[in-house]
Amino acid sequence: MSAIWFVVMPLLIYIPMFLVELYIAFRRIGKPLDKGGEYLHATWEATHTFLILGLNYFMWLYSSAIVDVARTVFVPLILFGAVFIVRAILYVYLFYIKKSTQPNVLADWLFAVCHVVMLACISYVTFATARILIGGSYEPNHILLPLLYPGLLLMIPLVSVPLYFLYKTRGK
Amino acid sequence: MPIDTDSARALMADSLGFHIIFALLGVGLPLVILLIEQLGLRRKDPLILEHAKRLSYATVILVVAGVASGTIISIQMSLMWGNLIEFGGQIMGLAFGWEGYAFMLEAVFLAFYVSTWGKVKGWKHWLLGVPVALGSFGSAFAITLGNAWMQNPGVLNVVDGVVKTDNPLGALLTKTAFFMVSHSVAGYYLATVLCVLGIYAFYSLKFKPSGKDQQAVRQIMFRLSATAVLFVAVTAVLGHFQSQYLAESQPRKFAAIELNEETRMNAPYIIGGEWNEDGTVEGGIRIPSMLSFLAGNSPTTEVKGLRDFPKDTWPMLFVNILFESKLLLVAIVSGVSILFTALHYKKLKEKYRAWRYKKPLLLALLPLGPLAIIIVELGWMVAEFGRQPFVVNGYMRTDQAFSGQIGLWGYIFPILFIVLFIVTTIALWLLFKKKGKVKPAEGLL
Repeated sequence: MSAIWFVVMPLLIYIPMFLVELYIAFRRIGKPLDKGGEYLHATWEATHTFLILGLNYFMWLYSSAIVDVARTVFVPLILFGAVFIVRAILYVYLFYIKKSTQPNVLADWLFAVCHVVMLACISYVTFATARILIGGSYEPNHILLPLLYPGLLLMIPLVSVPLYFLYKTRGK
Repeated sequence: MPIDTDSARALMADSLGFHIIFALLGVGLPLVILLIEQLGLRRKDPLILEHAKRLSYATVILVVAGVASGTIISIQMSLMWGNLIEFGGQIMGLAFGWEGYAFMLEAVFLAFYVSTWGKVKGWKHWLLGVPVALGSFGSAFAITLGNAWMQNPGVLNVVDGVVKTDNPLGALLTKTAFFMVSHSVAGYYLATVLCVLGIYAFYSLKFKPSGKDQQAVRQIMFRLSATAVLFVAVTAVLGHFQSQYLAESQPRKFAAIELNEETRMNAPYIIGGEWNEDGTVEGGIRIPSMLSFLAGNSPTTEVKGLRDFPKDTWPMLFVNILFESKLLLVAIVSGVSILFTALHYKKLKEKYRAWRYKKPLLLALLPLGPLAIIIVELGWMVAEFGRQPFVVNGYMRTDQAFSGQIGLWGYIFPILFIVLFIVTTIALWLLFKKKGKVKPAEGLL
């Protein structure tokens, strides 16, 4: 397996999980706290862990490309980061602070729109990065791969079981 | 140093300072919850289990803040400090790659653990918490390995401005890493235990639990305080040996922290002094030969002085004030924790033992957690400011590591962090205050 798969694989897992959250974020607008909401806060940390994993792998496996990539994706990536915090603030407010079970439509919409902005930013970053990597001749840090394989092989089956359970029992 | 580099450093310091609070609680809480759940299972007490359950929800809130701030740090690293990543990628990449795995283990099993209260029961549920604690430990372990390499990278093979190695594992697993990981993680556990102890002191003062609830709360508090004393001892011993190794491996930083002006035997230990610009020390109480004794177990140990190093490599000279503040807080936190635990000693006269749950001592327990968090922050500030002006000690200066731009984002992120901090604090406050007295959990045993 080449270095690029360490970046692609977490992203391939992240995208469908994020799309599920995007769907739920819109579905719950204007509704009182429901089972869907509870499902969302059980999986949110897990979902974004895959993004962090992909980002980490890219940064360190393709460290020779990082300066060029950072110049190109500065605005969308830092905007993603800012919106990510806004989403976290809204998330804590909606699920842990809001006293009433009555919906707060403005916060619900903001929460959902954050997902759209994040999706747009991360898509741009992914495509721009892919273009730079394809167009340039950046040598990945192959030396790290033998030390990262065992973790990947151990971790994927280990986290698949609880993830399967979480999605299977959502809303129950 | 250019303004943008300074702004980037300030932003990184803000982000890390904020992240550390949530990260250390994220590392410590899984262990604390396991301890409380184990107590509840052993005593078959549904009240204690309900306490563990409530704390697990607090962990979720903290992890949300931790995930957000941690992701931002990764983004800021890649956007602003690309030259550092390029320079040390072959070594630091391994630490960060492992951190990703450990964090994934923690996050996925935390979601699983929290959502299975009442569905998976007894010891099976407790076992689901073990990967959370292991993952959170692993996460702290891996990140600190990366930092330890930056503090003391050893001899590097630099080719075309990039570190080349055929043994990244060996470069990471060093004696510096051992001391930094063990001392800092023990500190995180101690801070978390004290935060939770403070919460139960508040719970006792606010709700005045009686009967079985009082019994459950007191059992939890005793277990927490005994654990705190254990970690006080562990951090103290590790801290001492870490300082001795620091004197040997990073003498420049050691000299700045310990106010040692010149290389000498019989170096005095100075309490309360401060550095002048020219590398002399003003004021303070001097204990003759004590620094030499602490550094090498003998008054004749030679300790390197700051003036032996070129002035442009001196760390920020206020590190000694940070370090002394840390020691003062350590003394306060340790003293109160030990006193509270000692008052549980069964052979003690009852009139003394009775003090342990009286208002003055419960009030004294309240600030221990926040103080312990400040101790951790100060510890990291000493480590980071003490390494300056280098980012990778002796090889890459901080201004050389800066590769990006920052602009208005330098203001936006601190504001967002403050809002996130406030929102998270309110959520935690509501979890413990508004939910009120804990009622026995059903279906957990």
